[in-house]
Amino acid sequence: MLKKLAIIVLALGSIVLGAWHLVEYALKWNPEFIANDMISSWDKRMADLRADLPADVKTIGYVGNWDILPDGDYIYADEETEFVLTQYALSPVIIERGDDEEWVILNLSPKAYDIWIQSQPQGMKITDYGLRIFLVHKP
Amino acid sequence: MSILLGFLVYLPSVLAGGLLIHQLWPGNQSARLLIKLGLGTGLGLGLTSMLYFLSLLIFNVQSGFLVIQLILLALGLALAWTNRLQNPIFPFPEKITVTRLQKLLLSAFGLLIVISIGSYFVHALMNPHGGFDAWMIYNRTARFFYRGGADWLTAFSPQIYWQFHADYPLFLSLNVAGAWNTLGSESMRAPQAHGAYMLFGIIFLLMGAVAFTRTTGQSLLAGLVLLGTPVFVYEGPREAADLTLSFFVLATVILFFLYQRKQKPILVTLAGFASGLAAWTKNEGLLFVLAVCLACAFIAFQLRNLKILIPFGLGLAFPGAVILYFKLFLAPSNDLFANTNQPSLLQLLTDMDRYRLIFSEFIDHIVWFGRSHISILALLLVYMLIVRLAPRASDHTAYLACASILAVQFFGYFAIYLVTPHDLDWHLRTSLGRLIMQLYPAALFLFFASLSDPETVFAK
Repeated sequence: MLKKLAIIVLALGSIVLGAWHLVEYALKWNPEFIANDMISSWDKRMADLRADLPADVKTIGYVGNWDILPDGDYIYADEETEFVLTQYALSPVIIERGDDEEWVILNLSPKAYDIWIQSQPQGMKITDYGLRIFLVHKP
Repeated sequence: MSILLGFLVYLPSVLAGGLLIHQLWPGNQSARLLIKLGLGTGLGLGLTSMLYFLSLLIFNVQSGFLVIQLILLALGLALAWTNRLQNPIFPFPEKITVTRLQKLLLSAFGLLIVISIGSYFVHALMNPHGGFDAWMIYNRTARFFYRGGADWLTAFSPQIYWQFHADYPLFLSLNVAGAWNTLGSESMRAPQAHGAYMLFGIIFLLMGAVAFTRTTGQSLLAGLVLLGTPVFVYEGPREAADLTLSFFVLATVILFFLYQRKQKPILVTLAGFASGLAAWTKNEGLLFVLAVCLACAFIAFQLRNLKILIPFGLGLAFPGAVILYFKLFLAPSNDLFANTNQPSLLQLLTDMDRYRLIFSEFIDHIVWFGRSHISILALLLVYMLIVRLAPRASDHTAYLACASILAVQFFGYFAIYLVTPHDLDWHLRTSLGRLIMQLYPAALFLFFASLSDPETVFAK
């Protein structure tokens, strides 16, 4: 009898777990995410910047808050995610951390931007794409 | 519409895989056909991925994906037609009768399938680009191929930041890029459909193999438990390669198990091919090939039949050669071994705190595996204690060999964590759950293949 009960519990338990998972996720349902999830939004944000890059550029630099501000003044997970999203959006251009390349993307808070710009030479072309994203072209 | 196209774009490979395996391993009992349908999904997609890689290397033209799929499908159909009398697919040789118990279990399984499809679509629609690994590694590499055109080799530039894992094998990225080329756009429904095919491949394979080795009721229970593990339904639309690796681990274990029963060398050849495709899927697959080689040697020794190493080697040869070429001539260094600033190996291996942390995380992740609200492991252990093990004595070698594959893989993961140059806590947190998932379907197969089945329990 106990063995039969165990089989019934295992079968019904599996259904309950599956249904529980569906309900849990369905409660988070947001139709806006179908076309405007975080990754699609970042892709769109980068689209203008991508269009402005010359076709022969294979590698560009990337400077984020984590390169400028001391630990604790930025959220590491956010910095990492935005760096990964930028590489994903701009592929097959290779994104290298740092500002050694001729073309550099800045993804900086106002405070980090002010610090960064003080250490840079004059004559750079900086294009603002909004939401703290800039494209720098060094002469 | 894009969802349907996402599925259609891989259908020729899946059908071709099933048809070709039907020729290699004849027989049309219903359980055997279910195994072949499952095997065909992964092996067909894997073969297509490797041939597409070779066509890119040789011709440097991206448009060959559909052509390769159609050639494979035409070959499968031609062989099936030519051999239709000696090796028919239909009708089934046995009369299919379903008992009341089996009907109840079938209804339960049908209900869970509907629930799981619902969960799949909720996940897929809300996460069109998949999970973090998908856009960091697999879909990103696919973009390098698809957008890069003739410059697709840029995807392996050593300039790419280590975190993007440009050295990862190419199974998934090539199939995604190939699908985008066929469809003419970067449709995210394609990688999601790829995940769904692998998910269904695992379900068919697991259920077919349990039905083949035990009973229909037992196979339905195995399917229920797999689909009742939330992480599996979640993995399909995550667009990462862990589900694909799970498939090949399961396929290899099942093929070894069946070989021990049927003594057909083609089963070991297919096991060699499947393990090679595991290595074409993820770097963990390279460790898996080692584990399988050890298991194969064990079986050869137990059966006093060293000749089985030959068909195994034949199966492994083609994927092995492709992977070797990729790793030697294209892939940049792996981050685990390229970091020269790490402490010495001896320091890492003698640090007892690392052992303690890894051990406790392994226990925690295994006990709470599955993204479930209850411990699935505890549930299965209690179930096993009540229903009792009933392994067939003649399967002793098969159980040992298959369990040893999983054990070597498991301890290999432990060893990699011991020597990782990355922050150990971060490395465990971001990967261990996925590693356990890679072994879970194969462990479920061994579990249900060794337990008393519902038909026997309800007959008493």
